[in-house]
Amino acid sequence: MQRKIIFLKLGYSEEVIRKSLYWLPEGCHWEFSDTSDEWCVTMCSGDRVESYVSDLNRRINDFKLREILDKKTKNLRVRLIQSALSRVADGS
Amino acid sequence: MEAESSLSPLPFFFRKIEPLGRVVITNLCGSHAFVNSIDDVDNIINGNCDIIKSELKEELRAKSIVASEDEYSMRAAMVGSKFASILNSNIVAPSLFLVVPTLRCDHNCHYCQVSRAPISKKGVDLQTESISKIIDIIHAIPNTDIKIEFQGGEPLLAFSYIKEFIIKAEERLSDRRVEFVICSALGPISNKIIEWISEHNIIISTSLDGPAEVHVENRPAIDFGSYENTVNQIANIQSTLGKDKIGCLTTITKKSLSYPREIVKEYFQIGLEGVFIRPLSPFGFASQTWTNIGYSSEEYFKFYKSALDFIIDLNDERLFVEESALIHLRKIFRATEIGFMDLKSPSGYLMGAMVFNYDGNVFGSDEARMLWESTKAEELVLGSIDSDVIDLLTNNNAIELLSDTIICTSPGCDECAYQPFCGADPLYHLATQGDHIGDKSKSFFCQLEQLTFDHLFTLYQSSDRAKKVFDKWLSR
Repeated sequence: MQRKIIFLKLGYSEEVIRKSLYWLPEGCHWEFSDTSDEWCVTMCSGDRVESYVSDLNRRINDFKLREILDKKTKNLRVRLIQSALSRVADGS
Repeated sequence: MEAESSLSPLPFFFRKIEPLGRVVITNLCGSHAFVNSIDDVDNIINGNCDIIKSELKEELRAKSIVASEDEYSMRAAMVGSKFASILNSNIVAPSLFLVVPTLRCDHNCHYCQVSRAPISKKGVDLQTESISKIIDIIHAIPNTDIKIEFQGGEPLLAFSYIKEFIIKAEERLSDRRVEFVICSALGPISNKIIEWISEHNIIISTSLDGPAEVHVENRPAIDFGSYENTVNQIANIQSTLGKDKIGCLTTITKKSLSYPREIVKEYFQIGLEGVFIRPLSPFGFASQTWTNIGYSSEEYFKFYKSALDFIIDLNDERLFVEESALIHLRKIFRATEIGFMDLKSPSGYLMGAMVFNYDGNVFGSDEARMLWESTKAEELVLGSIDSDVIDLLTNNNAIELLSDTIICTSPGCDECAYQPFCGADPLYHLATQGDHIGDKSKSFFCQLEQLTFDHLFTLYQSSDRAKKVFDKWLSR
């Protein structure tokens, strides 16, 4: 059994889709392609395809939220990490 | 009433814990809080904190997960400062020194991770001339509290080496607090050895894989009954040296998976204070026999959950700890807790341990020497017992490997909610995937850590009984 899922490029970045696919369980087989406006994921995982689709949707929602959070806080997070690493390197 | 200024998110991570049905939020400095749903996370991220209950809002603020405009910089600085001190506490010179006096062994364990050698094999023992060199290296590292652990093979097959080592170390390291540990399967132990051990500050660490049918299958001895010998000698050591002078751990194989309660009961019945349940590590013989004795992370975790449930029940009778759970709980509730090599960032490789192998090679972790034994990959070797200590501690391969193991910047870990409590295991990923960073989505280590943290959080949040037991363990 196969399922094709379409995501509009306007709503989702490639990073969000790819990160979500990366974390799908090992038994889940998928193909990823795109057109000018859409991301297309084809799930081909037999009987479990519905549960993988729902897993993918949940992960996409989570990664989309992380992307929004990143836009607001990533610079600060990177600054905090860099500052901690340089303090460690200085021995202070 | 003055309107409260709106709250904005500071950097945080989140994860829905499915069995609990709630979402855990964590941040760089190891604080954590729970919200009911992903919608709450959405509200926090999008600045709609007004619709979150005021009690929770206060908690998120106190834990520097959100902040109002006027306190934002101060809270960010607090997170940064605490994060730096956590990172700093993990970057330390080694205080655990493993000495491998021999690779020879009198057991035939199917999962032997060190690729033991036959009992009569020549050329796999450290020579006594090495003792002063090793102690000089340990002495040059200025840690006051140190542990020297004798590993094998079966180290008691080289007991005369151990005796000479300990006598010299007690003298040369008299300005340090030294604990000696002999990790032995207890085959060659005798009353004479126990008597000598009783006169020194030595702890025995052994392996007991459960009831006879599991232990004998996992850990057969060459020419004696391994189960009878192990339990008899544990009892002997407990009665002559004291219960606190022996520790045991159990390694779980496919055979063990059907015996969660029986394995735990074995430890409880012989009066041990707890059990350390650990999965197989894919090194040495275990990497070759994985198909026969290995399992998936889900299979292992089903076993672990059942064993942990039983252990919680047993705490009605007396304090009885599952050490692996306690290590994870300490990481959750005491952010600066260090000590367990697998859960350190940067990794515990060289930052905590140094291994002196039977051939004079020096490694940055026990796993490195295990992997070297089967691969002979020279980049795993820090140097030799003839090397200068500075050269060992600043080995280029080690520094390169370490710099990739700070998990807040490591692919696959950098967005994980459990990163403040977890660690990098570069040798595990090198052994299983050929790359020290590893594909975390396919990593047994990562899957297991996620399952473990999910389960401990679930129990702590949803079961008063489990919470009471865990709190007792934490205050031990």
